[in-house]
Amino acid sequence: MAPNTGLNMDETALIKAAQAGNQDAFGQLVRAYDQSVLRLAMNLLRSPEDAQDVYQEAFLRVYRNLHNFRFDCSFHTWLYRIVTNLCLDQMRRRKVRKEEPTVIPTSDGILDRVETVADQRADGDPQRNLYSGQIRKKIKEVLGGLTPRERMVFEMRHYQGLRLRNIGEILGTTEEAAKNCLFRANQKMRAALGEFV
Amino acid sequence: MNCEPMREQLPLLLYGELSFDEEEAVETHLEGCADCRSALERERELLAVFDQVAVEPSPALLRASRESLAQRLAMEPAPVAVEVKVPQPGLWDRFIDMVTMPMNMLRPAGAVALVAVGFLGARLVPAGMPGGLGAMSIADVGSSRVRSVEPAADGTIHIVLDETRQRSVDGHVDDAAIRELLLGATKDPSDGLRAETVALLTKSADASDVRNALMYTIRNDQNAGVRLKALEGLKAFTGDADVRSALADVLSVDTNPAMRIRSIDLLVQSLDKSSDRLPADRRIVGVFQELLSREQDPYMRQLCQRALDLMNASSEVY
Repeated sequence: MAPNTGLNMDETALIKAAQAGNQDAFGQLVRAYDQSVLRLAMNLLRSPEDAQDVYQEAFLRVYRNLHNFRFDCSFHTWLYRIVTNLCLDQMRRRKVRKEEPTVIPTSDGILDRVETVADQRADGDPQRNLYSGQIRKKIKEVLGGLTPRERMVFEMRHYQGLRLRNIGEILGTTEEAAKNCLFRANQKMRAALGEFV
Repeated sequence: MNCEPMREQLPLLLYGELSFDEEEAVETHLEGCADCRSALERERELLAVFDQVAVEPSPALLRASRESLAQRLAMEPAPVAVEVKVPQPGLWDRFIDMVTMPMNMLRPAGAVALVAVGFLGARLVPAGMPGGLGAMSIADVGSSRVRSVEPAADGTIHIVLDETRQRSVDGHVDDAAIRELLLGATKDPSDGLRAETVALLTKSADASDVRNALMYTIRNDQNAGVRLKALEGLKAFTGDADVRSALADVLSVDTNPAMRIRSIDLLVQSLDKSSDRLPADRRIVGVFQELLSREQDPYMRQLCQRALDLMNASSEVY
């Protein structure tokens, strides 16, 4: 789905106004995209602190470099290119540190992303609890087992609903390469979870 | 026939990422291969598992991020502008106001809904009121914004604060207020929130207002994942003429193959259960006939034909 812009003016006019120093226009651009930026960072990094860092750094970079934006691609693509690069850097650093947090604070407190599967599937039935516990473990494995690029492509395609062509453009690669990445991610997920579905 | 290359295409088929020719080849294969049709179902279920673990950042995190960005930007030197303009005083104040404007913050989670509603801008906290400044330490007002200061006769200072506050409400889906918030959240711009909300509401689809919201979703939501969730919520209600009408609309206009196939399944399921709906289902007969006349996909054509057979209807449009 296209982000909810709620813009008072056409996006091109808004960008041009922001480039000319109109900070209200810049604020509107931030609000148009920041929820989806934060969601992407949160889902990829699964740490509110890291997601907030990426959010801030991404929009700071946009602010500092907006005057260089020449409309060669959409603003959305340009912004997501910045965000995904920041997330990939963070994920690669994590891979080196072997960290993979899964705990997420939500509006109703701390939530383990994979625990939600158990909540929705278990219904208090011991057998189903066992079943969902196994799935939970497998989802952890499979998400942890994807490479940062595979995670990135899967997140953008599955959760953000972006087309592979757009994902390729964001990641500076071809649609075919993004497709291959999604395919590899899917293979790993199927190998890990195939017995449960 | 070699199934392996076709199996590899199934996730791309579900994501609608195949070219016309590729989709044609896969669907032709599916028509003649029960194993691959089962594999397609498994693939759909696999992706659905991941739908359940999508996470939406909390409103508190979004607000904190916006405020932190606004503070950080306030320290930034003005960027190089394409056209030189003299900055107007107070622009950052306006930016801070803007990024902390009320937003749609309906975030239900779990069996009860926890809903945060936006900011109460310019909220005056009278001194001495329970929960007001009189009850707060200086540390408590760290996130507040000073609206005005005024010296008092006794030498103290009277400060009026603007505060941003979230409010949470808890309750069951059957509570009217909770229900109303959830129904509103089905039209939120956030895909994640809509998916989560629709998933919650599917458990209450025996209520007509919830069914109406689910029907609205399958007809109008832009995210196929959300539409599919809503569709599953309606599967037990195919006896309802309005639901069948919504399914017929999906068949007519939805571009997502998974949505169309599932709608056919549900309509056929409704026909399997009852044989006395023919007069009311004339429109559905028409939809199937029309679909059969234009649908290129052999598998879809097969499903349409079966439905028409069940209704003892002709394949032709007269």
